[in-house]
Amino acid sequence: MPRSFSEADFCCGGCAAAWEILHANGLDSYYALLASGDEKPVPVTPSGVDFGYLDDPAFRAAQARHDGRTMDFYLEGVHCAACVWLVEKLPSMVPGVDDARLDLGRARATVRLGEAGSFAQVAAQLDRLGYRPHAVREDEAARLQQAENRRLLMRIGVAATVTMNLMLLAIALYAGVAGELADIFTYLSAILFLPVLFYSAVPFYRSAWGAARSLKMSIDVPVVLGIAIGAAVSYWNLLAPATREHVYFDSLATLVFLLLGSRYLMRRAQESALARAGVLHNMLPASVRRWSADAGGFVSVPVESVRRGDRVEVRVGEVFPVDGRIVAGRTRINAAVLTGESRLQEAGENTPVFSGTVNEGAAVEVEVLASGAETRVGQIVAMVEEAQHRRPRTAAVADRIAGWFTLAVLVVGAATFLFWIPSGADRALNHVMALFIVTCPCALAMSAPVAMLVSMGRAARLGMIIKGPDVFEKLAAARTLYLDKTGTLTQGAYRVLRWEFSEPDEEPRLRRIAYELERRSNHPVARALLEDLLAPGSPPMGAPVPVTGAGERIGEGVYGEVDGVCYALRRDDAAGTDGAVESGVALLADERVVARIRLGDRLRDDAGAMIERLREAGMRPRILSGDSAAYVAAIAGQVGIVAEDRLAGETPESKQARLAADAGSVMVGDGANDSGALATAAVGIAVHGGMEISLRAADVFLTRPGLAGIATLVRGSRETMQVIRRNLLFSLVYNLIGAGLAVAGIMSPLGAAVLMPLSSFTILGSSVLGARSFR
Amino acid sequence: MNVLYFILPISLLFALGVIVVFIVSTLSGQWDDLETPAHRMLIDDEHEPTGERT
Repeated sequence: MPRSFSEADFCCGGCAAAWEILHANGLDSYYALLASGDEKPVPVTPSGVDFGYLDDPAFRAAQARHDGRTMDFYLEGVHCAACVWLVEKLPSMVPGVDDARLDLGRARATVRLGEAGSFAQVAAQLDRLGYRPHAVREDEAARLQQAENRRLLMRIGVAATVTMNLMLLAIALYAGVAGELADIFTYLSAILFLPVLFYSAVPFYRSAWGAARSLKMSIDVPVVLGIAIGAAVSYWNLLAPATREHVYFDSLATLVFLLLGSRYLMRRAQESALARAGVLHNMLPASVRRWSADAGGFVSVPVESVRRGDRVEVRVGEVFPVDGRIVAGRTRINAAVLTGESRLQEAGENTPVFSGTVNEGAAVEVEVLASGAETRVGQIVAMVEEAQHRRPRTAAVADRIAGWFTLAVLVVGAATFLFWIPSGADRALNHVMALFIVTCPCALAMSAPVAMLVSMGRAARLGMIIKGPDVFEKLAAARTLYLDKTGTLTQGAYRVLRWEFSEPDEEPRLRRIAYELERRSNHPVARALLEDLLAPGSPPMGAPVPVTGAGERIGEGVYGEVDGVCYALRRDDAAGTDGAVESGVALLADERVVARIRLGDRLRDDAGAMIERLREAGMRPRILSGDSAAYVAAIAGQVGIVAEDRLAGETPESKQARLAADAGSVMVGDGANDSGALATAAVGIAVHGGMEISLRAADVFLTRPGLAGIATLVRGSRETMQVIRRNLLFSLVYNLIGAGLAVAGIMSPLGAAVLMPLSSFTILGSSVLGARSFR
Repeated sequence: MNVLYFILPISLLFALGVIVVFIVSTLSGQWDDLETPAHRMLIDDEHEPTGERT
């Protein structure tokens, strides 16, 4: 149902541009779909990246799938049905596209071209729609993972079908079918159980064998013991008519099905978390503009093809793709990702630049000195990978209990046998078997994974992506939390801290003049000023004023004439650097200062509240920053972190060493300079907007801005561990009751069959109630 | 109860069929992406008088 829109209906020019594209292609029903969801429209800001490199034959050969015409893209910002619809309409928007499919969970679009299509056009169209595309290769690891998932799913399917049929037969048997039919049902059960025993349960054998070989205990050892003994007893009892009713095929099949199912879900949850972390978020650009003598200009090429000595152009707002030195132009550089220092650095000819830092001033030309793995960021990546490799794997709660559990069952089994041996070996053996069946650790094995799964799922919906299940246990035990300053506690960008007007009556008018002067500038200060002026809740601006002769002098400021008075916004060196103030500008009217504006990196709005909540939870927050002591002190003072908990002037290496020395502590960070520490910490948490390398290094990352998630995560982890302990207690109590009845010799097959699912369902129920903070 | 001798093999054949269908659907990748189809079904096909699908 196409609606007509006028310019005024859009929040910004980007949305209007997107509407024009959609409308021109007859795709207006996007808005109907959008209106059906609860998604708020967000401003579309095309990145304007030159995607020409995608059609580079060498790049295409390396990146495309085997047919050479299909490429996978990771898309930023896809999240609803309308996005699926829009991306899959690519064939009608871009000529030469045969097919486009979107996998929403992984944000992967698979685009197949016809004979004459261009991936650059596809990428540019996606970019215009506001989904910034990154070409990704479907690698070998992902294919193996998919094949493994499918195998596991087939095992579950077989186990599920068999289990349901076995239950059908078992219920008939419990209900009292007798004679020839009972024999047939029992034999049929024995045959039906075979695929479960020799096909579905194979992963448990492998894992238990792996644990046994390395002399480690895992929950799979008692599971396999239970399956093996149960199967052996059941088949043995099948032979003699007197014992034929003591078969447990249905219980064993249920056990295998439930455990496989919980493991599969766990795997999927973990994979989707890893998939979201493995993508290129504002990491290094995939392409660079390299000087080409043939073309007589800069040409977009893949970053891999850049060599030492090449010349590349880096525009304003772009990330430096390589390490090198500036050969032409002057600019300012934001190096916070590497140094943690939020202040912009002046850079001119011969200044070294590092990949990952951001060009904030003006376009420059850079001579390449190192690219890829040889850059500073590349070395940090190597450091992170090594740290992750070295980190010991800790045994999960259930695995630790498994050893004691197995031992206890074996000891009680031996005692039972000795106790009943006077009344005949057959009878004694039977009671021991009953014991082994009822103590089968189904509920025990499900206690932890199901509770963690529920918490992981709920945390993900709150914007906290948890990569591994051991995070909860470590986070619940942690007592110290290290916070990076720039970009984590603070917003990591220039913000207006305060205005000082010399004539308060003039305030609205002066704000309006400042707005008009800075409106066209791309300078970081101008952007900070505009953001502050336009922010909801900021003091009102006066009525629009006509400005004549407006302009900008690079390195000086902006100027313009209003009502015959010459106004200028200029750098204000008198501002000093007290506290968090990093620089200042002054508004001058005919060379007389009428307002001063202080700028700096501002604390995130919820930083104070988060630190308060962490303290309530008994955690000790500390600041670990690469910035100088004065800035750290200014920020720390605002959130009440005392001097001994302020660690300033840290390098990436020293941060990592601190986390290594303080075992069991948590690190929260965002930049490449934190990533070594994130990987070394017991739990590393990467905040929203962090670099890709920090996401890869961290165990948890936040997909929403703000820090409130961290305190919730700590509380939720503790609750999750409580749920797990409650589950373990439940399952042990059930086992104790069952074992008691078996040892006493009064456990019937019916009793065992009822008790086992009952215990499993209690665990499920208890887990679904789950951790309250994540709800 | 003689009807059981007839029904049991049929139900087992049925179960076998279910397993086969499940395995075939798994191998064809039907369960690889569990999220997008839930959204895709919200999208109505547009009725286009020309009969030509875009």
